[in-house]
Amino acid sequence: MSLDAPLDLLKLNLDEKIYVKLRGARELSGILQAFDSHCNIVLSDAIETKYELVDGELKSTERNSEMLFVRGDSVTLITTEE
Amino acid sequence: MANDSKSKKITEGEADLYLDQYNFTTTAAIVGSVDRKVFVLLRDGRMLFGVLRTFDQYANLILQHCVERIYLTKENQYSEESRGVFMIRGENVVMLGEVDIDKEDAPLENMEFIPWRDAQKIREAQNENRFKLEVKKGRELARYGLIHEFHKSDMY
Amino acid sequence: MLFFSFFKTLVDQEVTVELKNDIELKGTLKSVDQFLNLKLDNISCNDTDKYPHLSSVRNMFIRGSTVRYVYLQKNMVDTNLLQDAARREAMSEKK
Repeated sequence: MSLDAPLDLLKLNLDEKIYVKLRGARELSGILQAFDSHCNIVLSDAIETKYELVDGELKSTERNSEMLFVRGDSVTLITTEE
Repeated sequence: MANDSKSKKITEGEADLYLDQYNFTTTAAIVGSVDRKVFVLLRDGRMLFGVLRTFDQYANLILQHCVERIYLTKENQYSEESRGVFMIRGENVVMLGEVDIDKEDAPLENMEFIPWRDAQKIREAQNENRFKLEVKKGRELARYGLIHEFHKSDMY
Repeated sequence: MLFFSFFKTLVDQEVTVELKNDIELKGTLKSVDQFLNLKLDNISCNDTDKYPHLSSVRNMFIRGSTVRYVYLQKNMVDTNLLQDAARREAMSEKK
């Protein structure tokens, strides 16, 4: 399989761990189970990291989810490396 | 009678297929709420209660006997204003729910009713405050490469 | 159409929908349409302060564009089937 369209990256990474950056100061990691051309995705064993500023300091909170659908319009970046 | 032989009836299987597809349309999701009391939350944060009279596939809605309500939870106050008939463009809808008219007033019983203008003023100040806060947050988070955008039209 | 079909397989299951304003609505998924608008029954909300009347709301239509996440359980999803469907969808879009 070759990479001749951006979303091919996702096809090659089905059943692999990916990292996703989202609007709303959030990041996700998880096993990619599905995606479509809108970047809607489903991750299993997902960990969400949510960043907040507390007194000007960056704090993060994590949340686990065994299966998570993510709407594509929140996605800003997807990578296979942390 | 003469047309009987020509009018082509669809088979039961075909009918099922149509019905199956119909079940999963915007129309099918909303049609059950027609002529019932519903609440609609708009993207700008406004909360409307009214009788849903009609709608289309984009979830454009017509509400009759429409009442706009403001909750000031922290102050334990609320207010209402009659709005008559509203036509709502679907893209501004966040959610729509059917209201049980026997239970709908329960949360208001322990809240104080205040004049609409007062409630509106407080809400506007709250929104303005929130907007400033979110913009500031967005600017600071951007320094860490994090996107936190906030639009004035998304006050829900 | 992949996720439209995907959500159809989740009908009658209990899901939690997180909106882009951080509100979470838990309920039984009753319907989905091509825009991924969702319909939930028996809803409960993590923030009853913001929407006090939600206790009197029987069912809810949520516009897909306001959704951030839908939290699911592992046992609701056949991951092999889902991955295959995603591959097929990617192929068919390319032509």
